[in-house]
Amino acid sequence: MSLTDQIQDLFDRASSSVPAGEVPSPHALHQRLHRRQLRTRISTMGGGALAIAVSALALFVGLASNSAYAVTLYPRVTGSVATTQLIADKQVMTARLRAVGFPNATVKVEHGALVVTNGPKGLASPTSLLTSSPQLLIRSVTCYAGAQSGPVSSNPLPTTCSGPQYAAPTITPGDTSSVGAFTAPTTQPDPALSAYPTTTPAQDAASPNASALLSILNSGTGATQRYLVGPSLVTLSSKVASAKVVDTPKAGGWIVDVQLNPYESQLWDQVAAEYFHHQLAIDLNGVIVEAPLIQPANSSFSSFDGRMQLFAVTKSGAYDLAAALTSGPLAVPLVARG
Amino acid sequence: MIDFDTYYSVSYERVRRAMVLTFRDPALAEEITQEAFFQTLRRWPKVSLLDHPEGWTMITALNKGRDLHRRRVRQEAKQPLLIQRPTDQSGEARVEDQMMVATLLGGVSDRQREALLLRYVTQLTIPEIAEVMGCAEGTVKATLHAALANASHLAKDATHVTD
Repeated sequence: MSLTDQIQDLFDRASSSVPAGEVPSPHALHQRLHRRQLRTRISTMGGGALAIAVSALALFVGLASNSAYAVTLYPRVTGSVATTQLIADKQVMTARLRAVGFPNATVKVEHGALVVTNGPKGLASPTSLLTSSPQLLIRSVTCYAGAQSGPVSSNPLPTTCSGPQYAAPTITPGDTSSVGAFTAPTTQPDPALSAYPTTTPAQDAASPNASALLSILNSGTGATQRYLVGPSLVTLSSKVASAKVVDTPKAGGWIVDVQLNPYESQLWDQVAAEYFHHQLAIDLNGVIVEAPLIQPANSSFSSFDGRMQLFAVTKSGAYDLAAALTSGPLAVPLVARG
Repeated sequence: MIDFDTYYSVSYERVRRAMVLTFRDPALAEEITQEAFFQTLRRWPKVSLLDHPEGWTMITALNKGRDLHRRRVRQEAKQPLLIQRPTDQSGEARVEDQMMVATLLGGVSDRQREALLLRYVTQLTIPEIAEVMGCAEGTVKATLHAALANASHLAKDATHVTD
């Protein structure tokens, strides 16, 4: 007998000597397989649903936020623009984009335009403060006006209110009873102004020394509110020393705390002292962003030390404003086309 | 194509016995045989197309058993494989045969053990073993030859020990 046969014989004997066991029903295996397939299917469906949810969320967040974006900005003027102006704009724009949280944004001068990649999508908006030079005009408030209604008047804009009850609130000099416990009076809108159209930003920029009927920046929840304001008392358009967005949102908006440079701080103080206990309007590119009654609780004027607070409706708008103010004006304003 | 349930009823006991002889632990053999047949069922559409599905199941069981056995050996610090005794000791002859096979299987490499089981338990031919193990026929012959030489040597030693 060969070794192979001996081994075979040994295996046969050993195998047959193993006590017979009960063969379990294959039904248990089928059931186990079915459960496993069910788990796999549920897991796959759950994973798929999760992936879809994550994708949808990412898409929504991406769309809702200032996602990466590319836009071409052209000069907002009709004539030819020098390349040096565009290069200056490029530097200002780069600084603004860094300030609003787009450190990877690139700005290039190409064919008489600025090409911005990886910038905020709001850059394409015609009202974006990032593409304009913020100009703060300090005007005196003449009276309060409601929204435009009825036939539009083509008459020149009046310079006074139709009645003293519509005039902007003031504190009478020498009236010490109101000092220290000032409560802003409720002023009614002048019905005579309802026929007049709102002064556009272009008209405002073109005629700063004329009276204007300007909208008040608000959260957009109520009807349009306007002020009839006098000629510009001073124009603040230089680079400010600092501008910070206050984290706590004001009701319906955000606050930008501005610290003016020393020269414009003096101008602001001069105007504020002249209009002590009177209401002023801060006109930012054709919209009133603040209308403070100057130090109503004080008996005598004290310097603002260059401090000023501006209002913004949205958080991104507040950061855009702060970035525009701290980076200085553009050499030439820009606008996105197409 | 053969039905899985038919294949299962024919092959289950043979695979289980081979696992008992290999690992000398009926409970472990039962567990790994069940697992091997479950894996076979999962892949039945493909495995059923093989000429010898039982070879595939046998190797799957061996691999599973080897993993489990090593884990248990580490956990329980069991004694080396060769000096373990069969759990069933109801008959001396039965014990001797099982002991001998256990000695043979315990003293060879994993590949040699696979070849021995496929050859002497599953009764596959050399070409069939080569197909199941995924190697050349010459390799199977060499593996079996080495395993038998090793087995022969171990058998003599075991006989001496028994004597």
